[in-house]
Amino acid sequence: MLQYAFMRRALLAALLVGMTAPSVGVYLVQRRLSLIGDGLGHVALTGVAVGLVTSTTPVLTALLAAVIGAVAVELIRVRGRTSGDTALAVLFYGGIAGGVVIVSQAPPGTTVNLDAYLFGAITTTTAGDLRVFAALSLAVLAVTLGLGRYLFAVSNDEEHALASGLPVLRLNLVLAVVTSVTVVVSMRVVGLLLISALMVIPIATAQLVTHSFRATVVMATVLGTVASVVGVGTSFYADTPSGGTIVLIAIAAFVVTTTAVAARDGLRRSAPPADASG
Amino acid sequence: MVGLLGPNGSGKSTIIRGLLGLAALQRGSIELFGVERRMFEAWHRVGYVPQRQSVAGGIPSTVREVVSSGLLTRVRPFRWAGAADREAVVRAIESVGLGDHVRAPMATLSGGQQRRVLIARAMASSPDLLVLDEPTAGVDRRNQVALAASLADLAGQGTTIVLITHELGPAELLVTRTVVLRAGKVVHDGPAGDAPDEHDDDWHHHHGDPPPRRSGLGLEGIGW
Repeated sequence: MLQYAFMRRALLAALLVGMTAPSVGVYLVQRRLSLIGDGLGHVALTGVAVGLVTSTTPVLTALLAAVIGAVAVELIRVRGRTSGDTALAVLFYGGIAGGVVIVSQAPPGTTVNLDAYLFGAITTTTAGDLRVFAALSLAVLAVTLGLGRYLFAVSNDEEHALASGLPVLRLNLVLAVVTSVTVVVSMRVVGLLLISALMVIPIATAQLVTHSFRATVVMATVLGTVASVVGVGTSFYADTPSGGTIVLIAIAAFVVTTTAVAARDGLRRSAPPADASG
Repeated sequence: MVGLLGPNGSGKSTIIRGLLGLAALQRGSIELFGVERRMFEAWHRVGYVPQRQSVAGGIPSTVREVVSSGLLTRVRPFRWAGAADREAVVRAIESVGLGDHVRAPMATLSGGQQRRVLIARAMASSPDLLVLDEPTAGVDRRNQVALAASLADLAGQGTTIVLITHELGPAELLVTRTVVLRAGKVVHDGPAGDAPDEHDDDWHHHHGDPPPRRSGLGLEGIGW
């Protein structure tokens, strides 16, 4: 499959998403904001629609929309009277509604295939997209690695972070922005409706077997990367939408790990008392 | 060591939240080390142990990772932790008696041990002022004593400790100044030993009398 240029691009895009999504998602899961990525995916859809209607590159308009949405939801959560949950709901439905309405205004003759944006497709990544994705992924990884300890402190205990004089609002905004950037990097191969899965499921799988935050991040990143790359490969041979395939592989890993851990714990419990001290 | 005492709802936590910048002040002012709080920047001089028992979040983290986050006021972003930083973290963990648990996942520790991890986190930046909000609520007697020993060490090294509690326990013997709050007002501020008994509703009538010396470490029961 590597003889096809579109497959090489899709695999590279998958590699970038697989690495970035879990490294951002770990802080979202820690803050119990697992669904924020999904909300931002919906908002990015409005951006895609604007791009399609105005014949601008959808990746850039989606990026703009997602970043604005992310900053808005964070500010509403902190400053407004609306709870994070409600703010998220507005984001979800506003994003989808905006996307559908704006796309309907596309000039006659434009073929609009929203499915590819929503669920991912391997043939859609352009060379230009790939350059943008590479730059964005590097930026995201620079933030998650460089500010990792700060993001950990804030998502682990926001009150203590505030009392330590850390710039909590700014850190939360940074996290919101890198989340939306990750959503956009994913829009070609994973799709805007499925990206959140890649931010959450590898974390859920990793934390079943790890004991430290760092190990969780490393293992989730490996899991995310493997799921993305294998998913894109499977999608090529099985002729399935890449996003759905990637997510199903990630979920399979989660189910297998859960079962294995449950079986191990079951064995330990039925083991002789000599094992009880461990 | 200052004991900030008072029944639930008397304003202990509000004072501390104002002090730490967690709550806005309606009036009055707070100075930290002689600096108006809003201008205060030397946050590494202040360590805070919140009332919450454990560290939230579903993701596993080790004792070392949690305590390291107490150092962030001293280190700069985009820089790896140096040997001195790692040493400070281990020292803080050892000082609360958890030296054998540096790499242990938080989830494997008891409630009392987790509380001591949070104290180590507050101590990692070697603060000059350590504020503990109800550090012993829900902590068993043995851990309370261990905690009091850690605090005694710190106080011996010159750290000012503010202990917020509605009942004193093993740390009672360490407190040198007691401030008692009731309904938002300071009703007592003086050397320890003069403090009224919180559970005596008529305490203000015999204020000034030598208070009955409570048995401190010998007390049985729940809480302090």
